[in-house]
Amino acid sequence: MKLPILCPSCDHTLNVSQMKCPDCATEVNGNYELPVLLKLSREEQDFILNFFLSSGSIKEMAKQAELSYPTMRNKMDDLIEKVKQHKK
Amino acid sequence: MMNWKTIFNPFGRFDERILLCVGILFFIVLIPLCFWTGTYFSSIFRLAHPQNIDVKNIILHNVISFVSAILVLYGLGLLFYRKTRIIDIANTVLLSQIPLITILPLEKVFYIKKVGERVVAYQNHPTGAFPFFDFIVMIFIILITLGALIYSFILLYNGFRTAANIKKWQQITIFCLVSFLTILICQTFNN
Repeated sequence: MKLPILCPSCDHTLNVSQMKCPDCATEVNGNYELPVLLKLSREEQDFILNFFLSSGSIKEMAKQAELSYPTMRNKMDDLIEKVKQHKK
Repeated sequence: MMNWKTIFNPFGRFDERILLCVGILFFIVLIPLCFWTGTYFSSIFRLAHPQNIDVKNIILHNVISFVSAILVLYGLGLLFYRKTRIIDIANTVLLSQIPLITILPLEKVFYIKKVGERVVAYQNHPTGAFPFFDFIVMIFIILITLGALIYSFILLYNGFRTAANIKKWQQITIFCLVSFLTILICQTFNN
């Protein structure tokens, strides 16, 4: 199931209010901020995962996605900027 | 698979070494083509028609035109984005001129020259029947040339956009201004 990260009403980033242990059903309630990476869209998360799986090689990622190196590098830099914005 | 996006922005997809090989290949082909048509690039996007020119000077003028454009755009690219690579800028400049290199042989088609002369002659002395067919051919040639020129500009813009990761309208405006000034200055001194 897809994790919702934006409020459907005002588009603000959602917080976590409840977590549940799937084993003993213990529930924890609170107001927790999502980790930075979870604030990104699904595609962006997949992009970072692919980067990790290709040993941090943009060139390798570009090859797999049949894109040029500068295109992939630009995507990466745009994503870095977005992560920096979320970290602020 | 080739699609419109790839045709207008090959820099977004193909490996830089392949693009560089294609660009250099066309630059090499350009030398005999210029010699045959009696032209040279006094700057990118600008063909000069000297009275007499030898191969050595054709190579020199063409190299100056291309290298000056590459250096200026590389400097601008670095200003916008410190990760800009010279190979991407070189590919941008080399590939953007391919449409113009491709239509260069039209300069040598005797029939096209004659068509132009006949239309101009009729315009100066409108006697007899209007050379309708010549006019259509002339318009067709102008459209081909214009299309090649527009395609060249699109390639230059898309190549630079990819190489220097520009997005803001201010950056795009500066790029257009710098390119235009480079072309003007280069053709003034490279004559």
